[in-house]
Amino acid sequence: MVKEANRGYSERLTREDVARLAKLRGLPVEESDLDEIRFRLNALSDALASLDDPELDTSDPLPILLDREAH
Amino acid sequence: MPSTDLIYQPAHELGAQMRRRELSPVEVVDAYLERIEEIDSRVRAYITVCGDQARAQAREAEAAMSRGGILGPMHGIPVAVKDQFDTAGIRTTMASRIYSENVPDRESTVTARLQAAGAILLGKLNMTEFAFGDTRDFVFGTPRNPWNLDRIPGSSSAGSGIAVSAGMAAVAIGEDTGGSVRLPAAMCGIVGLRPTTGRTSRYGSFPMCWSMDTAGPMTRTVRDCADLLAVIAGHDPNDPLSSPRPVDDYSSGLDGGVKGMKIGFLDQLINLEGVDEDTRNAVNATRDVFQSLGAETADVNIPLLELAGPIYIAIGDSDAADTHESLLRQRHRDYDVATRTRLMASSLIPASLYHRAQRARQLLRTRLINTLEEFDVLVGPVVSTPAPEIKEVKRVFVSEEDVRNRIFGARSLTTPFNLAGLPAISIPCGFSDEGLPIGLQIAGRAFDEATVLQVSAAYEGATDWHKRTPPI
Repeated sequence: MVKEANRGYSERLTREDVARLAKLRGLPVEESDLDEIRFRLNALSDALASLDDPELDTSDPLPILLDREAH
Repeated sequence: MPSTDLIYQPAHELGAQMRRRELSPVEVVDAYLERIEEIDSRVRAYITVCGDQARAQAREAEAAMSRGGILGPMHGIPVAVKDQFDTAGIRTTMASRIYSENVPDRESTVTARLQAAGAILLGKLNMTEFAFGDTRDFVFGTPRNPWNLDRIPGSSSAGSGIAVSAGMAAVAIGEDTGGSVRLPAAMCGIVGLRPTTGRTSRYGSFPMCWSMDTAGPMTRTVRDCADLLAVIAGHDPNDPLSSPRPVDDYSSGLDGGVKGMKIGFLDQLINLEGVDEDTRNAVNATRDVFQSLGAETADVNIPLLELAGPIYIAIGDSDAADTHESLLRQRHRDYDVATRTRLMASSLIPASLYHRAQRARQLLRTRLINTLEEFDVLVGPVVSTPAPEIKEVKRVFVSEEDVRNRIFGARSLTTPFNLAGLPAISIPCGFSDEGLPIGLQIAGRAFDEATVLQVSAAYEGATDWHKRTPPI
């Protein structure tokens, strides 16, 4: 099935977004960590959203089964 | 000061001398323990030194020899192990505050196989916390590169790289999820192999990413690497990803050379933004060596290869977030801040992004496997630059751009082979103008460690980079 490219979140996360998401996940978060967490998450979202490969959306996200294939 | 001839001798030569009764296991173990005592306070390679136990094992090994017995292929060889592998009755910390007093009951398969082969455990080695990279505050002291104490030794098997490079162990075991054997091997000027997924057991090692965690040998020579892999490789019913296929004879082909082989140079990685001139020149210079030995070389480009870093982080860090979820809820302040912010970020990755990364992984893996039908091995750099300064790595991230520049590109050099589950090695291929080691990465087909080692041995035999020792 063809899927549309997905960047995960619809826009870059703010400190407040990160604090709220962490709270909803039940994860304690330090105020001083919020910027670094959002920088990491936003950078990852940007990088994955920008993957531009014609075969990407038709490739199945299978787990690795290397040895079965190699036999 | 112990004899440098002894502590820097390849393990296979130490073994041969011991079998000829020219050298005593007690003498060898004493030399390494003396070296550890002498310099470990400066380089922080070890978390736990098992001095009394090692001396007792050495006496047993000597007694066995006097009865004419050999305990196994590593009889009397002093080995040290990354503190990620459980050792029954010996503290195993993952270099974390949370596990700082943890003494496991079980023995990891890798350390059990070392024992069965007659190896003597010198101790447990420092690492970045929980095998994440870029720890800022080390619980057991900051590990330092023996070539320059202001530089990092590479992560995450930092102590393994230091110990082998600085003559504090004959050989060591590391673990490579995204480059953690090859990176310290490159930065410390030694040999480090990440075997095929499933070739070595994960049983008894603290997990980071289920589909990529792989134990690997770290040594001063390619022959030692082959010998150590033969000891730790093989099927383990305790690990569901463990391969049932027989273990190859890795040593017999080491002198086979590269004549007639096709070696692909990974153009995107060699010319990746951020790869410095010393590194690029050193890797490109290996082309002449391989050609002079009779190999054919060609440039290779594989779509997505240079983007492996973020693909790897989305998958590997998501797995780690799951492993750590409970601890993160209960003891988040006991984590190093870099580990904690990385885990918190990966705890918030949407499933759709995770699947996008898995799709990219499958594509990349298929393309690498297809390319390796045309080439015997693929080569490129291991690290963008020689070992950076410790203070540089400890810097807090200040923007998304900072994360991209410092993390994604650098991780794209080693992680393609973790994502694809393929074997890849780092061997010394030069030194920077500042006198820091540079590593060459050689990757091969699944379960074809023998060819990777054969190519590595041919290069090593034609050069002398591996003979240099650090100025400590």
